[in-house]
Amino acid sequence: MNVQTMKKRGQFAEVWGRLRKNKLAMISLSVLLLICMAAIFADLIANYNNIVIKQNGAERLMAPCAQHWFGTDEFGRDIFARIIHGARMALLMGFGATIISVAAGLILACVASYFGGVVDMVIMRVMDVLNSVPALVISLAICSGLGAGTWQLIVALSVAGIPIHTRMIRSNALGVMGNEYIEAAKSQGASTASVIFSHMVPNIASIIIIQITSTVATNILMGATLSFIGLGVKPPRPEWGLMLSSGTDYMLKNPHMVIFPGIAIILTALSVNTFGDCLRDAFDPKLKGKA
Amino acid sequence: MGEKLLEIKDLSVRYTTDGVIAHAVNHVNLELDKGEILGIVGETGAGKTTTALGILNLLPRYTAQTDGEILFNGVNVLRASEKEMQKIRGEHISMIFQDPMTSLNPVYTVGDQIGRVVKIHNKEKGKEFVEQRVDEILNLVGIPAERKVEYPFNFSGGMKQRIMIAIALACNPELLIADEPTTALDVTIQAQVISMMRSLQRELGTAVILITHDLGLVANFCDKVAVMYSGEIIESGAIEQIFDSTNPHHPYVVGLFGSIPKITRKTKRLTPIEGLMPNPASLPEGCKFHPRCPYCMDICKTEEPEAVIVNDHLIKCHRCVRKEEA
Repeated sequence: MNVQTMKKRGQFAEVWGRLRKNKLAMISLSVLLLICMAAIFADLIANYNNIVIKQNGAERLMAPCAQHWFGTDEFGRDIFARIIHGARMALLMGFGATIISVAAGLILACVASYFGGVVDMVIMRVMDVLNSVPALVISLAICSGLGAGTWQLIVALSVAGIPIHTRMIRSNALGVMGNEYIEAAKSQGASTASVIFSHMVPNIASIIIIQITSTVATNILMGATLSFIGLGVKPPRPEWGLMLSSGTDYMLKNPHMVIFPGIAIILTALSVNTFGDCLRDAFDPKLKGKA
Repeated sequence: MGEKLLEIKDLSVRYTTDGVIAHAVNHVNLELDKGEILGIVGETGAGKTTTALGILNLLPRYTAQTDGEILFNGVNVLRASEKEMQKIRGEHISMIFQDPMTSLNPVYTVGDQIGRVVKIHNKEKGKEFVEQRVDEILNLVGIPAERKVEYPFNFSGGMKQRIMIAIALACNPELLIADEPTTALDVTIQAQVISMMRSLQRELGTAVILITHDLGLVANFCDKVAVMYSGEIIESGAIEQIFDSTNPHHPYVVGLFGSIPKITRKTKRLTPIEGLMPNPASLPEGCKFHPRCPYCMDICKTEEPEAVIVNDHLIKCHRCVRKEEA
C-alpha cells in the first residue's frame, strides 16, 4: 500500500485494516458477534415464558441429548435456552455498566483536568477514597443497599468502575490539555464545553475505547460473581452466575449444570479481553508486547 | 497616530506554585494604536508570553495573580467574565502560537478548524458563509482552498503556521498577537511567513504584537519595540530610536546588539551578555539587571531606576537618570 492511500484513510479505517490482519482479533470478534447475535435473537431461538422459565418436573436433570443440547436443570428447564437468554443479561451488565461508568469517568476526568486546581483535587480525592476500597466490595455494598435485582446490579457495577476510569482518562486528558491546540482553541474564543468535547475527547478516543473493552469482561465476571452469591439478578431470570450457583448443589452427579454456564462465562470474557488487547495493539502498534 | 486600541497599565503577574512566588511580569506599561505593529523582545522567561496571555485573559486560573489593568477598546480584559472573553477571543484579539506543529488539533481537517472559529463568531450566518470564508482565508495565506479537507499532518511546518495565521485572521481581528511565530520554522520559511504577515497586516489594518528573540525580524517588521528583562520593560520606543546606535541605551540593549555577529567584521567568538537572567522567584533588589551590568553603580544595587524619556524613547536605567540631571 503506498503512502498516499494510507494518508487518505481516517484513523479508524487504518485501525480496522490492522485488526483485519490479526487472526486472534478476528476469531475473538467472531465469537463476540456470535454471542451478541444469540442475545439479540434469543426470543427466536427459545420462548422466554414457555421454555426459559417454565418448570417441567418430567424432564429435570437430564444429561445433554438431542432434544436438550446442554441438558436440563433441577427444574427441568433447558440449559441451552437459558444460556442463550443469559447472554442478554451478561451483555447488558458487561456493556451497559461499562458504558455508564466510562461515560461518568470521562466527564469527571475532563472536568478535573480542564479546570484543575481545587476542582481537580476534590474530584480526584473522592476517587481515591472510592479506589481504596476494592471494586467488588463497593458493588457488594451497593447491591446489598439497593437490594438484589437487575438495575441495582448495573448501578453497582457502574459506580465501582468510575474511579478507575476517571484516573486513567484524566492522566491522558492532562497530556492532551498540555497541547498548544487546546490553548489555541481557547484563544479563538471556543467555549469550555466545546474545548472539552470537540478538542479533548476526540484526542483521547482511543484510550476510551480501550477502557471500554478492557472493562466489559471484568463487569461480566463481577456481575456473575454477585449473582452467584445471591446479590445480583433474581431467579428465575436466566443469568450465568446464578445458573452456576444453583448448579453447585448437583455438580457431582450432573456436571453439565455448571460446565455449560462456566464455558459461556469463560468464552465471553476471553473473547472480549482478547479483542480488547488486539484493539489496543491496532490503535497503537508501538505498544505491542508492552503492558 | 490613530486611535488607542490597547493600553496596559501597571500590569504585574505573579505565579504561585507550592508557596513560591515567581514575579513573571512587573509593572509593565504599554500602549498600542490601531494598525500599529509592536515588537516585544527579550530573553526566555522575560515575561513576554505571560504579558501576551494576560491580554487574552488566558493565564492559568489557579496559579496566576494579576494586578493593574489591560484595557482593550476601553474594556479591562483582566476583569471581564469568561463569556465576554470568549466573544473577544478570536473575533477581536487572536493569537498565533509558537509551535505550529502542536497548535493544530490532529483529529480535524484544517478547513474544519478554520470553519470552527468563523462559526463561533458568526452564529447567525449559515454553512455557505462559513465555507466561503474558509476558502477565502486559505487563498489569502496562499494555500489552495481544495486542501481544506486535509489533516494537519499532511502539511509542512511553514504551511501549518500559515494555517494558524489563517485561523487567527479568519474573523478580521483588530489585534493579532504573534508569539514567536517563526521560531519553529527554518529561515526561508520564516521570510515567507513574515512577508505574508506584513502584506496581510497592511491589507487588513490589523494591529500586531510580535513577540520574538529575533532583532532582525523586529527591525524589518515593527513600528515600535519594547525590550523586556525580568518582567519589566527596560527600554521602549519607535524602531528608529532603539536601533540607532548613537542614541543612549540601556546596557542590556547595548549587550543585546553587541551579541549579534556582524557580517562585515571577522569575529572569532560571539560576545554574549555575561551571566543569566535572575530567577523570578528571587529577584535582586534595585535594578534587576545590576548583577550582569558592566556599568553597575552603588545606587543600582539598592534603588530601582525610574523610567525616563531620552531622545523620544523610554529607558529604565540609573545612568540615564544621571545624565538627565546633569
